[in-house]
Amino acid sequence: MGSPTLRIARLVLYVVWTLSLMPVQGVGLALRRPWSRTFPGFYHRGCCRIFGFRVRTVGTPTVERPVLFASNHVSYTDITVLGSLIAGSFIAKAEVASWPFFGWLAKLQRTVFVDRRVRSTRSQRDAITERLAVGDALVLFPEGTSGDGNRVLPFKSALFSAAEKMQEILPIVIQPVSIAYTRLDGIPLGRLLRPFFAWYGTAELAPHLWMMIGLGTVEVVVEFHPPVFISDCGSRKSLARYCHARVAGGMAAALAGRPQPVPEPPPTAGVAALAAIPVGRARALLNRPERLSPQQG
Amino acid sequence: MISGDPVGPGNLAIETAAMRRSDRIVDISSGSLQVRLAESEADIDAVQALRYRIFFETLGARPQIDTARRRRDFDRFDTDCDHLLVLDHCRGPGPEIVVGTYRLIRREASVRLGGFYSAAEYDIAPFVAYPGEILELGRSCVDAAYRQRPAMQLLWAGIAAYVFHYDIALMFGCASLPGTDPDALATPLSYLHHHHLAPPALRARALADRYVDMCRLPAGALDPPRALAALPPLIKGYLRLGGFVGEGAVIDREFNTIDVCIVVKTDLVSDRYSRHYVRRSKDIKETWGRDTWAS
Repeated sequence: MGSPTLRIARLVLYVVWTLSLMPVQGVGLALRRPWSRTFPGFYHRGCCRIFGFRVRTVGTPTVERPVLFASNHVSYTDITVLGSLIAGSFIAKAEVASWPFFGWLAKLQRTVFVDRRVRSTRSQRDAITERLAVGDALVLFPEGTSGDGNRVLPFKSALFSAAEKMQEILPIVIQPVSIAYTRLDGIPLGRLLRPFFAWYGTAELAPHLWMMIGLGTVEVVVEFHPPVFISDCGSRKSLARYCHARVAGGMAAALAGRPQPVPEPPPTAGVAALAAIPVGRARALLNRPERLSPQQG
Repeated sequence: MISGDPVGPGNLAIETAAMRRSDRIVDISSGSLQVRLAESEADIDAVQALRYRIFFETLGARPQIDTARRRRDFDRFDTDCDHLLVLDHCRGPGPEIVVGTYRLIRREASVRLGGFYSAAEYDIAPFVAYPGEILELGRSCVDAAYRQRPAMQLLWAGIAAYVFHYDIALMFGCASLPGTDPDALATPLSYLHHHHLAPPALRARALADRYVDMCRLPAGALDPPRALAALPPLIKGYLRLGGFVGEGAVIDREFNTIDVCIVVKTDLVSDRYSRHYVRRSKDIKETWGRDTWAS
């Protein structure tokens, strides 16, 4: 399945594009140039074109910093798609650092590597709080692994602990994000075809990638939900539940083929939406989950 | 711009290549807003101009002759400490680009300055004796058009970055309530006293000759959620971080305010740094000792 010509062409383009930009970013990081924060976005937008990802966004990524984006995780291609929209770094498991090639790419985007075997550090500080403290944008996949692309796995609230620790000196803005691979060459993807785009379970990376890049143009819908503070939700656990409810709702809507994404609100709308959520409102919303499934569209 | 040459306010937005590098202690951008530390005379002049606009032209503080003539709010502390700035790059290159500011004084600067600013109103011995780095926050003001989310959050983010960088264990400072009549402010003062009084080890006390009792109403006479909601945003911000108030308020007639003393423990000091600071605090005590002796 898939076109061999397309496959070869995409792979060659990807390798050439990546290898020629890697040294540029390396130099930018070494000299600590401010453009090294936005350069990965430029690279990822190129990759989206090469792989035929048509990214449609609903809502707007918040411009506030520091910020923690909490997204569902479908595949390694999420990095490309979200990286094309968010000027920030990803939070990844420590093993990724030692992967050949992809590990290098991760380091070039200043990925925060988290060793999940270390249960509790005596220090209140960790890599995530350090990066939030200097005002960075971080992307967290709170499922802790990638799902099958049809539903969102439970969020691990422990992964939000950095935001909780940061409460001591700064309330952190958290924006839930849902990502869904919705169409192939304009035709809605069903459960049958979705595994070509969702990378999960025991699938090997190389054969999966080889298969995926031979397919046509994929529509990806990314929805940025209203940002919240942990204090709006009450606790780390209810923050995780709130984010999960938003993300699952957004993904379900995207997969159900909400005909047109809601028109993009002005850049301040996220803030306005947040201001409109008084303390405790998010908690009230959580008690009424039916309110969270988007009815529009 | 950091060469030491005199710089006019018109050059505020001009930065050398070296300064555009991201090796600043605080440098966070959010849309057209940016927070960083003052880096030049022009920056400090813009800060003092903003403070004059807010404190004297808007909030009704009574300027001394020199202050009114220069249209700048300045004092002896300004020259030897850090100033946090929020800039809106949409507002052009002049001093009006600075829309928010905070004055930051660490131990080191307080030694050079001969003490902390709050010492004129409170006995801050418990803070000075605290092991680890401490930070006095003061002279905060934000242009009226920027007193909501993005700018306020960015100002806090700037403080957080600073606190992280210098491993600050304790933040403190005076926060103001508008007006000079303690009875008119009985509700907020009593609420703060009953619900947010610092534990004894962290409790600063107003100096005896300026002491105003904050406990003006019994705890039962208060409606806590309403009292909390009615507090000035800055004080609410501190309380949200788990801040406490000291004992007694102080009337500041020049600034037309009643001040309370706020203290916030950061609890984010790493083990590595806390060990470091056990050593450092000994050094600091010695330094203080020497300075006192020298004077």
